[in-house]
Amino acid sequence: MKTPTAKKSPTDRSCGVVVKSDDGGVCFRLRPTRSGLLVQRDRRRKDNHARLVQSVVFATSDGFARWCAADSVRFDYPIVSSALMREGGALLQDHEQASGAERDHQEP
Amino acid sequence: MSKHRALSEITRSPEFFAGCADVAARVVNGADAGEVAALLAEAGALLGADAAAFASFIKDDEAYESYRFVLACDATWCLEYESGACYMHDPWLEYTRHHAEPVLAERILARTDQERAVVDLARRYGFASAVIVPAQAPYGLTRLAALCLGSAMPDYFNNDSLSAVTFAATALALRLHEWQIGQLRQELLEHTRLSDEDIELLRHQRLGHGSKQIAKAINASSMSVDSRWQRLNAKLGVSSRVAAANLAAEYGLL
Repeated sequence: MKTPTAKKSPTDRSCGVVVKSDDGGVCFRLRPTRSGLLVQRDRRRKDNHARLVQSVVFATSDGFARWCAADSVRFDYPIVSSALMREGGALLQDHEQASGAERDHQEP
Repeated sequence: MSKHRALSEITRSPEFFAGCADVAARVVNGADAGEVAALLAEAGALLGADAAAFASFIKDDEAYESYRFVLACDATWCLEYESGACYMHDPWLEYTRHHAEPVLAERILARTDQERAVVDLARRYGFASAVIVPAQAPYGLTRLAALCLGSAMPDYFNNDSLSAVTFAATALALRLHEWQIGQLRQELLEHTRLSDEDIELLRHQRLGHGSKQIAKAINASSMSVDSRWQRLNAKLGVSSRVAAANLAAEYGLL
């Protein structure tokens, strides 16, 4: 069974979170940035002898949720996918709260 | 990104080249992928694009090939690209293997149904009109990269302003490629923990030196050189000295 390993510090998510499958087929590195959540999705395909790494920054929770829902990892590695949505969602929520607080602070 | 201002209006702006050069200059070695993705989005907007992607290819070892994408576009495109193994039939990537000149994507012929499907996928995700700007590696290496600028509006880039866009985008593609090689180098060093002595050994191999020649140069015995090679090949996960040196060169270590 494909099971995920989520490496993270329980007290500080700012350094990022790694969510990956035990078989090395997929790994997500999540890290908050100034503009949103950086996601690096690293997928290895043994059948094609290929690895594809995509890096993208999500500014909103909605965009991130839509992307997660479209990912075939949802079916191939459901536990990894759940962990990705949970961890990424929490990081984006922190980002959105921080951005909101910054906006409130700047407004007269 | 852009609200489909005419490309001529964008490229005639007095700030066009200075703005693009400024973004390219901010793509520095050591910048993280998040910063670079943000800069790519900024550059794409300056260049009139709705979507931008920087793609690079490298042969990892005898068995694996790696494709890396930094995205400033709908990232679902890349999910579909990956799940369909589109990299095996991508005519735009194939163009980049053999050409250094920027080109309008519509001028690249998709020869098979599989290639046409890859192009159709890109068109659906904001690359209805697209410009491919290759960034090539030195002679003898397989690694390559390309900046792809897209617009949802068909024929958007197909006009007299294209040369200004490709001129500005070439500098950005080269900086992105340089940044990517720096990332690869760092990734390999972190992953394998190569020592300075290992890198010296790889340099000798790249120059075609055999065990005896290396032994003389580093003041060691041939047997000691051979056992160092065994350890080094194991660190890199390859089966031969040639493969080890090729891998190190592809990852920008040599």
